[in-house]
Amino acid sequence: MFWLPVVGLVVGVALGLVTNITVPVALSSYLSIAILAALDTVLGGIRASLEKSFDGAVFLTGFFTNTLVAALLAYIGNQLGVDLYLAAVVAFGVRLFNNIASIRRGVFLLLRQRKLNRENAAGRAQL
Amino acid sequence: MRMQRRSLILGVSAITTALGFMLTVQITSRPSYSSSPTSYIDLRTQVDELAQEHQILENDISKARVQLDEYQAAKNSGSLQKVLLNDQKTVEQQAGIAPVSGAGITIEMAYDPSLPTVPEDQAAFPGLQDQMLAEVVNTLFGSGATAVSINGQRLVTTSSIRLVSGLAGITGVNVNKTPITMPYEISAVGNVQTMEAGLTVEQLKDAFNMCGVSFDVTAHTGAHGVQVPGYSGVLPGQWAKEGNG
Repeated sequence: MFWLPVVGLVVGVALGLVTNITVPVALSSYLSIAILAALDTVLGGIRASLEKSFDGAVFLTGFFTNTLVAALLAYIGNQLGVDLYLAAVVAFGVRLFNNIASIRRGVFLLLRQRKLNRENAAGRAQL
Repeated sequence: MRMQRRSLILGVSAITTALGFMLTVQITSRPSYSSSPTSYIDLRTQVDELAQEHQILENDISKARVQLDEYQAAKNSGSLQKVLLNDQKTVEQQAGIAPVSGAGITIEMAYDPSLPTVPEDQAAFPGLQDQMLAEVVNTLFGSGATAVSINGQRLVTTSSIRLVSGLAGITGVNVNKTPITMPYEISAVGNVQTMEAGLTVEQLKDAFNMCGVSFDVTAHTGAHGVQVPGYSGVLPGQWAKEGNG
């Protein structure tokens, strides 16, 4: 089942290539910020699953809310003549790195735990 | 637990599908800016430059509109030809094609053996006279002269003052590709006091005198005190025509 997200990613890329949708240059920055928010949500989901606190509803709503709010923020900033999207870039950037760091720590802990378990199991078998 | 894991995988799959789609759309629709400046400062500079250019173009449009209104008014009153002729006259005066007259000064330069000369300067003068004449002309223009001529050769933007060497050595100077010889007479229309002050500050009289050349400045304050002829040489547009590229 773990290959399903990878298949999803490949399907998404294929869909993007097949549909050949072109985003106008004016809207390009909104999509960029939305992608950043989406990446943040995905990494947040992986982190939550490693910490055993994953909630599917929170994950899905977080994805759509963050994506839309980030794009909206960029749009409002554009209308006001203030680079508000920078605020979103900084916020999501910081969260992105925090999530990556947590995932890295979580994976390390998981691997160590598995190694310990294997060693313990081997020790018990020898006894 | 199993249910939770399943919802995680399905949720992440859906999200990664959406993310993959968004990423592909963004990457495929983004134009290539490899040759353009991408930094914020570069873009700000570019914006500032374009804003300045825009302002200049706005000014040009305003001027063109005023001219158009003038033409329209003249057309309605039947005096369009007169307005166009006036414009032609103004352009000719600005280009230096038309002869002009007004208050100004004349400078006469000639070899004078009675002057207390510096032998080295006197010996060097034949090879430096073009530069010294150019210095006088530049000083006059810098002091607000509106028209200047040397020995009847009107100086315009494309004029040249060049030293000429014959087979037996330096013989004279070419102005507007026309040879001129001593004595030199420079005529300049403009503010008399300012031009005289400019020449004094630059100490040009002393410089010429040390070379054994007199430098006599005469002021003409009358309304038509100095006559400067129009430029009669080849104009840049006479041979060179605008290309398509």
